[in-house]
This record gives sequence, C-alpha cells and structure tokens, in this order.
Amino acid sequence: MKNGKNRLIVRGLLALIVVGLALGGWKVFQWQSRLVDVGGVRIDPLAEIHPNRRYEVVLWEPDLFIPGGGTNPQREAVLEAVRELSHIYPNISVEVVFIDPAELPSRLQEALDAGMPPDIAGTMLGHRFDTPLQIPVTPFLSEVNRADLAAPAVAGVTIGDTMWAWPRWITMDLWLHHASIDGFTMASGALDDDTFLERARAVQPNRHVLAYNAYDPRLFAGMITATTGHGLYDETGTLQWTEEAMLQAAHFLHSLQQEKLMSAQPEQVSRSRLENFWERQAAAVAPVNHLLLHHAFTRVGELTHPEESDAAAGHSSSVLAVTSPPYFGDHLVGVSGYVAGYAVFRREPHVGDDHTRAVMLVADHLSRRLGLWQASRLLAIPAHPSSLSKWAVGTGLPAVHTNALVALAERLTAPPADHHIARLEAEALEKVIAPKLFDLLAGRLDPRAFVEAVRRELEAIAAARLGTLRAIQP
Amino acid sequence: MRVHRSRTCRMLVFCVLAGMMTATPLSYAADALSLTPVPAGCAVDRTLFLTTPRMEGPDVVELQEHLAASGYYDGAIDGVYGPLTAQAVEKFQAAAGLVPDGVFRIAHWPYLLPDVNEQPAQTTQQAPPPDADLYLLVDTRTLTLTVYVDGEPFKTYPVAVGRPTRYTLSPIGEWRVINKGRWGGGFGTRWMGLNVPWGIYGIHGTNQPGSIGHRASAGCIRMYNHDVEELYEWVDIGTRVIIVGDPPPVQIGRRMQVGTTGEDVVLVQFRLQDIGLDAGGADGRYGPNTEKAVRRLQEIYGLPVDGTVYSDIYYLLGLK
Repeated sequence: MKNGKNRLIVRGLLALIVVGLALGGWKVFQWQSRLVDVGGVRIDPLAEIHPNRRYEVVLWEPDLFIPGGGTNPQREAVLEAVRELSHIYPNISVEVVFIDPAELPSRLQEALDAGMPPDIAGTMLGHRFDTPLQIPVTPFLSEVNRADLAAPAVAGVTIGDTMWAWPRWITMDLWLHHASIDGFTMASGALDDDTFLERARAVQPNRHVLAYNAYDPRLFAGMITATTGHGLYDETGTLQWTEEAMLQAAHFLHSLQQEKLMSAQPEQVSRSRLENFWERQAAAVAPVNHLLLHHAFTRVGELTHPEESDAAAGHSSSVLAVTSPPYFGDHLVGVSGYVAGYAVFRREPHVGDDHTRAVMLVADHLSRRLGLWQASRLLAIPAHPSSLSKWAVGTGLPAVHTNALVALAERLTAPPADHHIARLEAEALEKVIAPKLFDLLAGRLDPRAFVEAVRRELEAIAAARLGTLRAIQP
Repeated sequence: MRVHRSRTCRMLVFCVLAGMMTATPLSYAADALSLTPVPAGCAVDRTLFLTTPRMEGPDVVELQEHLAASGYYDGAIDGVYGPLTAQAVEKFQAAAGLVPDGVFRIAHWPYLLPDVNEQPAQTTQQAPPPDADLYLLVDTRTLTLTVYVDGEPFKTYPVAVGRPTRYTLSPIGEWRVINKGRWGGGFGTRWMGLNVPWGIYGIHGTNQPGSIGHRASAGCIRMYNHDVEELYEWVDIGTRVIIVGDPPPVQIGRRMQVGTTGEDVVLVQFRLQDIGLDAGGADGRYGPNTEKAVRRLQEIYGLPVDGTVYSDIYYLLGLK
C-alpha cells in the first residue's frame, strides 16, 4: 500500500519534471526562434526596457529643406518630438545630429565601414545597407504597427519579407496642370496619354502645352512606371523596363513635339517652364516634385497657413490639377516616387537587446510624430494611414489635392530598397537616361535610336556596377 | 547674441521683401537700368558748371533740389546741369555775396544749406568694449544708424540717407567697411567706405548738418561730424554694415552667374536667405556661396542644376 503510494508520488514527480522540461524547452525554443541574428549577435525583439537603465540613442537626421519662409523650423520639430518621447520614456534620451541630406549617405557609409554607425539614420535612396550591423525592422513590429502602415510605404523599404527601415513618408514625381486654360481642362488624378493629347489639342494653336525639364530623367521614367508599375531595376539589379514601354514613352514625347504641343528647344524650355506656366503660355509642367508642388500651391494661394487650413480643407475646386505622368494602357499601374525611412543599426560591441528595443521605440515614434510633421510641411504623404486626416489639415491644401495625392501614392513605385541597387538606379537615370533624353528632345536621336542607345548603356552601367551583364527584358 | 543678430537679419529680409510686394512700375524699373554714365554712389565731390556735354549726377540733383527749395530754381529736378541750373546758381551766389559766375564749388554748399542745431545721438554707454563683436545697422526708413555690440543695440545715431530718386537710393544690403579716412569737404571729417560693387558709398560726416534726418544724400550715410568721429574710432576695416529699407527699383530677370554684381543680386541673395539657403550674405556679388545656394535650390526643386540664376529661379524665389 505504502509502496504503491510512493510509486504514484514518484510517477507524479517524474511527470511534473517531464512537463516542466517540455514547457521549458518550448519556452527556450520560442525564445530562440524569435531572436534576430544581426551580424552574429542574436537580439531578442521583445527584450524589456529597464526603467532604471538610461538609454542614449544617437539619431542622424537629414537636415531637410522645409519650404515656407523663415528659419528652418525642422530642428525645433525634431526636438519637440524627442521631448514628447521623453515624457513616456524618461530614461530614453536622443542625441540628434543634423546632417545635410546630400552628405548623409556617404557619411553613413563611412560610419558603417568604420563599424560605428548611429543607432538610427534617416534614409531615402536605399534602406538596406551592406553591413552586418543593420537591424531588420520586421521582427520589432507590433500588431498595431503592422495595421497602421501603408502598403506602398512598406514595399518601398522591404526586401523579400523583411522591412529594413521604419517608413516615414512618400514623395512622388507628378505632372501639374492649369485646371482650365484656353480650352485645356484637367482634373487631378490618374492621367492617360490619350486624354492628355485630346486636351492638349484643344488648346489654341501655336501654343506649347507642356513645359518640361529635359534634364530630368523622371520626365521619361515617370511615364514608364505609370504604364508598367516598374522602376528601372528590380531588387536583384535586373532591368525592368521593356523596349516596348520605352518606345511608347519616347514616341509620345516625340509626337508632342511634332504636333508643336511641346517645345523642340529643350535647353530653353527647361529653364523657363515655370515662367511659361505662370504666364499662362503652357497648360502643364512636368515633372514636378513635392517641393515644386508646394511652390505652385503657395503661388496660387491654395496652400494656407496651418492655422487657417480648416477652411482650406473644405475647398472642392482648384485652379491647378495634379496628375500622374501619362500612362499608356487601361489604367495607372504605378507612380514613381520615394519613401523616406529610418534605418536602425546596432553598435559594435552590442550594448544590449534592451537598448535595441529602445532604439526601435524611438524610430517608431519619430517615424510617426516627426514624420507627420515633415509630411505636412513637405507635401509628402505620411506612411501611417491613421495620420492622414491630421496630415490633410496640416498641409493647408484643399481636400481635392490631398485626396488626389493619397490616391496617387497608393500606386507608388519606389526605388529598390537595397542601397546599392537604388544607387545604381539613380546613377543610371542621371548618367544614361538624362543625356539621351535631352538628345531625343533636341532632335538628335529619333525614338528608336534613343531606346537602343539607352538599352546599351543601361546594360553597360549595370554590368559595371554589379559585375554581371543584365539583359533587358524582351 | 547670435539669436538677436539673426532676428535682425530676418527683419531685414522682411523689409526688403515687403518692399518688393509694392513693386515699382516696370517703366520706372526699366528707366533705372538705362542710366547714362554718371558718377555712381555718393562720393561725388566736384565743382559743377555749365559745359558740353552737360554734367549729370546725384550731386546735380541735390543742388537743384536745394536751389528750388530756396526759391532760386523752378526747372526740372533732372540731375542735368543745364542753363537754368546755372542761372539759378548765379542768383544764389549773388544773394549769398559770392561771385555770381554760375560755377558751383564745394565751398558753396554751406551757403546753400542752413546749419541747424545738431540733434544728439541716443547714448546708451560711452564706448563699446575694445574686443566686442560690433556691426552697424542702417535703417533707411527710420533714418538711423544703430551700433550693435555683441548682438545688442548699443547706440543709435540720426543719419541722412539717399534721396528717393533713381540715382540716389542708399544701397540696401550687407556690406563691409573697406577703407577709412579723415577727409574734409562734403564728406565732413571722417569717411568709412563700403564694399558696394556698383558704386562708391560710405558712411561719412557732412558740411550740411541740416540734411541729417532727411533723405538728402546721394546714397551715402551722412552723420553729424561729432557722431561720425566717435563711430570712426569704433569701426575697423571689415566691420559689417547692414543697410535695410525698401528695395531698389531694379529690373529683375537677367541671367546671373559667378561674377555678376548688382542690386538685383542683392535681392536674389536676400530671398535665398529668407527661404533658408545661405548665400553667404547679401553683398551684391554673385560668388561661390551664392552659386552653391542656387545649386541647392535647383536640386531640391527639380530644376536644371547649373548654379546660375535663370528665368525660373526668379519665379521660384517669388521675385517674379
């Protein structure tokens, strides 16, 4: 009787030990599987922030040009966002280093090469760097984070399934039109080539309808992206543009010139397109980036001071129209643009998983709070859908424009998230597309010769940069 | 200290741009560019007489104005020393007990301009510390020159500034003192020359103290002799002099590049600074810093990047 009781106790204890070991093993397995390998250091994305430990985070913030006159208010906005975080996490402090955006990529690369990157760096052209110190963002996303990120913004910082930066905002390369001028009418939104031609032909004769910047490769690239949804290269560095798409875009520009709807003197018109547009000699101007849009809306008085923007948001009409570049086909597939983000790095030696968690908190917070402020001032579109209503008011723009910008941003095609490929794409646009486009618009190349020359050089530059000859898609 | 100075600079930019909003009619602006060769700036210290071709310039304008105010002259204030002006000079000379020969000499100015009691400067202290960071702010609307020491206003003097004619506006901009001298004649007892690229301008004393507190000079900043003598001791070569006020009626639109100088360059530089791009000051010289700021402007707005000012830049800067 006693022996039987003892056996039961022993068995019970053994069972408890087995269950305990199993649970423990499961816990260990779970913990192990959630660790993120960052250059040989396994970081727990759920590590807790210790209330008694002081976290000092270094942020490299691009010293952005904020339009609107007066001294640049960005620094105060950054510090305000940091102060806001300090109320929630008093033990987290942020050292902000403002850097010229043009210099930031090279300085970051130098810091990465030296193994001493900042904790967070603002990124625009390429978000994944060639370093074992960069920490992927995806494992640190909460459900709330995931639910409140716009898909195009996520796509712009993602390679495979992994986000490499906290997205902040989106900018696009667009076309700007007079809503109604001398028989030409245009509404904001997606624009196809037939509609533009039809409206352009309605303008009085002897008038160049489109004032363009022949030095800007986005004049050409924007139409291909609008038609195909592709940028120049994919994440592997493979050329995405087809000859057909390039020929369509080249023929379109060529035909506008032949019909005298566009000047055949690219050098002259490139430097006087705003003059032509504002003196009502041209109905459309292209391409325009977010800051040129800001200038335009300010000039026509449709961009009001933030304090007056409630009234502006209610406006339903405008003297200007913002559209995609023209697409050739059934519908607008893509809009070329950029995603601004925050990339996160670990230090060498690693200073702790809790430090990384604190850094991620800072990046998340700033991408939302500062990102919203910057997007409002820059006429960029915030990466967080929950911010859109505040953003719309903050821009001071009439609703007709904010709605159009948001709709166009949903079609965003950003450069590859890989830093090297994004740089390759930018270089190819500047060194290959831009000069050849100028030759096309100056009449020195016909569309076919232009496409062939572009294809050859794109292959050559890709081969030189990537070491592999990439064939253009048939 | 820096905060205060930047506030002053912002105020300056505001004044210039506010003035541009009330732009001078184009006809006048175009007129301003079609100047016949005349002495530029206020450093015109010459004898005036009837000759062919006619003598012209801001000093003739000033003479005609004073002759008219004294009842000797009722012709056009056109800056041209013609027969009517010569006759008026003869009348004035006769009335003043001078030889009525129609030749107006430097020594005649005191006879034409009645002396008045000199207004005292608003003194805050005796002298600035010898190692202080000092600059001068001339406000052509309030007709004052204020000495700033370490970013704080230290002492304010009444001044005369350029008359509001096409020849004679004081040069709005950010300048440096490039020479100093103990002169006499129409420039009073002291001269501090400015590096204005389109003429000879400076801060000086006067033998016409009655003109202080008025828009009476040919563009220079006139002070009472005892004031300029005090200021002279504080100012070194290289001292910054900011002149604020309404913008000049210049025609906007020419192509600018490194080496271009002029009042329109000052406007471009002010506007660049106003939107947050450092053009290296507003000194009317299109140098490397201005070029760099223009390049940055072109890059961020997606315009052709060449560092020159072309048509679209004026539109972007709100100058057109």
